Amino acid sequence: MGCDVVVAGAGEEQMGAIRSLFERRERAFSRFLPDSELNRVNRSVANAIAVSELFAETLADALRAAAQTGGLIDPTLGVALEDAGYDRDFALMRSDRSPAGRGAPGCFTAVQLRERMLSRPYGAKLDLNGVVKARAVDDALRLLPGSGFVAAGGDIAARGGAVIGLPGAGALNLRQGGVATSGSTRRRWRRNGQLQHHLIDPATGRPSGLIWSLVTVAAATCRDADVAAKAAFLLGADGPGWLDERNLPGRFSSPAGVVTNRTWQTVIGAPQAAMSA
Amino acid sequence: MPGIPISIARRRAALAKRGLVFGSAVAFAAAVGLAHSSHAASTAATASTTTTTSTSPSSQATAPNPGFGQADVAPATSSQTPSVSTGAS
Repeated sequence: MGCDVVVAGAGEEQMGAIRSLFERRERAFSRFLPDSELNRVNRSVANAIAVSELFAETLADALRAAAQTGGLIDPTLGVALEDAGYDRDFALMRSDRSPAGRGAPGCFTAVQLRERMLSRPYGAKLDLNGVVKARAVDDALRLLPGSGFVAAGGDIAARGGAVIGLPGAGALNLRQGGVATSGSTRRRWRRNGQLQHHLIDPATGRPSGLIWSLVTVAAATCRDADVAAKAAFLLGADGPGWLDERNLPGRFSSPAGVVTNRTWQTVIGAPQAAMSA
Repeated sequence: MPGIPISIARRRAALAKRGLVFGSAVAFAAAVGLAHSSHAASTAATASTTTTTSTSPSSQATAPNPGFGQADVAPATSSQTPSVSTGAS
């Protein structure tokens, strides 16, 4: 997953279990391990293919996320990511002069999953990383015997209270639930001089427009927070209101400053540096 | 730290130095050798204006979906030091 995992509240046994959990998810869902189940599925030319229980559960959740977000978080954007140039582990990527590909719009409505039998349109490539990391964080938290938190690459789930630092400045007290931040400040590169990033507009199959640099959301789980943060990022100026409609607090960073939505102001308050959206 | 790869031990030490490892908290790299080390976002938070222009995506977002649950969250007091930070990975 290309990130550090920080855990509080685990003994040696739980820590080992959490490490194994992340390693299993990496082996199953990495786009960069040739033998990952994801890549085996994406290489298969069969119309229908049997997948593991873990894969089926995760894909089912990714399809739920697509439904929850009106298709914004689409699990069929593997080709689009590769066309944008994200075809290897991010640590190995370099900007270059080769142009980006055309991109391929999402097609999640054409994916069918019946128990463990998967069918998808010919040529489509799945990318489940819209939910994989956050689900791993939530599942790891369940392994803790009591209070604590699990954080992976800045996506966090906590039980019993944790003070979470916010991008740039400020903090919130997460008593129970998840906090996630999505944005384009880290995973960005250039193709033929054009800026690319990993948050793809499913309608065009190309990296989305950049209104925000980072969007932070708190929700009942890390998975919910991460899905909502990505959707709000992709929605641009409509992101704050979209989160308000779902009673989710959102904090939006851009080069011009930081804004928070109404729910954030109600629940967490408006930091001095922030302006309301 | 016997049995712990040097890279991870160094990372733990670095996290500890930054106050991210405390008590029983420990850290490891989810993808050994490929990990990013930062948990903190790099964007400055000083605000002056609000950006409102936009091309809203292509969203097919429709009616509110009740599928999202709410966190139990509250403001942090000025005396509370973050245990960990959220940021884009």
